[in-house]
Amino acid sequence: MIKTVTHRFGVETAWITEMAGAMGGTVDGNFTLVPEIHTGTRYTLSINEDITVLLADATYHQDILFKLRNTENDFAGIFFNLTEGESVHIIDDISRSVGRWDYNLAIVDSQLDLDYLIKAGSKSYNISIFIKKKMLSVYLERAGILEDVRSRIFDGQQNTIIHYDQMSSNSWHIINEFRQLTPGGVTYDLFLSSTVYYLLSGYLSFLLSREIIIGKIESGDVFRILASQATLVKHLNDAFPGISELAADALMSETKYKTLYKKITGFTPHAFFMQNKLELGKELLACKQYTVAEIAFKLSFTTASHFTELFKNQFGMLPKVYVNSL
Amino acid sequence: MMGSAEEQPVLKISHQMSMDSEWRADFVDQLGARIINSRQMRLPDDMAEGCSYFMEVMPGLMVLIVDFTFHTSIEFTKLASKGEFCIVYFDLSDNISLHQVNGTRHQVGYQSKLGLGIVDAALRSTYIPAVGERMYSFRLLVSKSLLKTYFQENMSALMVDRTFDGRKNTMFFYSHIKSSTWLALNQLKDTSYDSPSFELMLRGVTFKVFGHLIEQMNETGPVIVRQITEVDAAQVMKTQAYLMEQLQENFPGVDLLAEMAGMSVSKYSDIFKKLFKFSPKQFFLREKMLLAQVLLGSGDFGNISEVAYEVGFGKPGYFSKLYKNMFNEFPSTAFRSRE
Repeated sequence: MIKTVTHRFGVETAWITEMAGAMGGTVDGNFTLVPEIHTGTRYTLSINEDITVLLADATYHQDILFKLRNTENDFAGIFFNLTEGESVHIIDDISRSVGRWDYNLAIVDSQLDLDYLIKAGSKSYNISIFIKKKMLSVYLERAGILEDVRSRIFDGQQNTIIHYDQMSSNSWHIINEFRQLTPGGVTYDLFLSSTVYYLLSGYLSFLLSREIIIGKIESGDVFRILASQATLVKHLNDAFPGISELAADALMSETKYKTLYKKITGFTPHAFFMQNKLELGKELLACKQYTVAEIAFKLSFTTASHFTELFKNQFGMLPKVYVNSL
Repeated sequence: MMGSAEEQPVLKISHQMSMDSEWRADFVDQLGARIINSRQMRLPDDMAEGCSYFMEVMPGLMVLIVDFTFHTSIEFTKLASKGEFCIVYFDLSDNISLHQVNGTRHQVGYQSKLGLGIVDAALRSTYIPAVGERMYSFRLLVSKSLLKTYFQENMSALMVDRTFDGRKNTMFFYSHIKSSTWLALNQLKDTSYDSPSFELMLRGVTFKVFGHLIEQMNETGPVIVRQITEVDAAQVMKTQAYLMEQLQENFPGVDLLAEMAGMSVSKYSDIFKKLFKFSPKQFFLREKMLLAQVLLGSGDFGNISEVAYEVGFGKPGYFSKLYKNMFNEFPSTAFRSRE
């Protein structure tokens, strides 16, 4: 029987004691001690009235199923995840691993329920930032996003804030630098606050570089899209399966599938597929065992020159030049 | 840094400094500065381009960026401020710069200065920025009550109270800027004030820089001087700047330095030690060695002896011994040979 922990997050910090209780642990200042579930550090800091951060640097002793059931609807969670080992998001019967090559950054509306399973032996390093939607709205306003658009983004009836991505290398470096510090020193909270603001700054620039798609999403749809994307990644050698097939697999209409796919991942299914195909092509080139023509064939490009052309568009150099540059 | 001697400032302004944005009124009234929004202020276009940026980062901690290219020479005098806070200055042209400057006529020298300074807001100071160059100054205004909280672990409560009591003591602290702070500030310097993420980044930078500052102060302890006069402090600071220009020479001697400062040797030595934690000679030797460390790693020299001669040692063996005493490693560890 897997241990289940049902909990909530929030900018206000009442959840910390509740969650410690649900995990059979105690709270000591900024630290939460949960020796039965994991060793390591669990640290929360209220940075100001709009931002709270949870840092978890943990090695898990047992399988554990977290069920996130927020009660406040006024914030978004921004999750940076450096998990090694198995950790799985699940919904209905669909499982999705987090933390490997794929998404290690998730922005999730507090109105979405989220279940995640962490396997015994997993080592995870997470920075979770909870930020009031009204504060995000202020920053979008300063960036020149019109009132009309902002009110729709933050209207829970019309829109769900949701986005999965890979963190930028910049964010990764910021977290990695912070990770070297020992928790609890005199200056620890200053450096944690610094890290949070740097991450938010990077996130805001990124958010503004994307097309904003308004739409309400249910948890089930989120994970069907993510599962669909995982399927695409497994079949990078094949030709693009086509929207109608993908949509049917995800139990959605084609229009809905395309809209949600773009909203959650930031790409169209085809662009995402091609981009990853080319990344794989690049890896294959790097191991120097295949010719360009062989790789083009392996990855189901119609012709070698088609592969060469797309490769050049994506990476700015011809495959041959790339191989020679190694 | 003063403007060149022949160029007399045409404008003079005396202003307050405060933890709230009240201080800006002096600039508006006397120079015709414009408040752009709650944080930014500009000077009239014929006076300077650029802006200042002022923001609270947490209770008791304000950040102020002064980023102007002046078209006219202006003399700024910061009046002694009421209020229990101190001002931390970061000068990005800091640290031992390998950029060689034509200092004196007989040789080319290295530029070195302490880029981090904390000055009690109770002190008055005057500054004339160079005309036609971008002046970028990053400053923190820190309330003493906030600063106190970071020293309570290492000091007794009585000590802490006495140390940060503005009626009894004036606070000083000078140091080199840590490289991580320097990198963060340089990145900030290149970020547009109009960027939507500027404010978040500034908060990130400020927390980081403040964290490093607390670490540095905890390593040596803040320097507290009982009621030193600003004239005496300025005179001694001048000799310190002189020492920084002489790092390739022999120590000029306390007599000469005291004479430069216009005070007795015992008074001079006393104030110097209070301001910089070391005697003038120890300070000079330390800075020489820090310069040597940079030169060793620069790849500009063929062997260690050349570096020893460069920083004014006649005997490389003696240099190596002193170097080992200071850094607990031999010069060979830091040495990178010329390619």
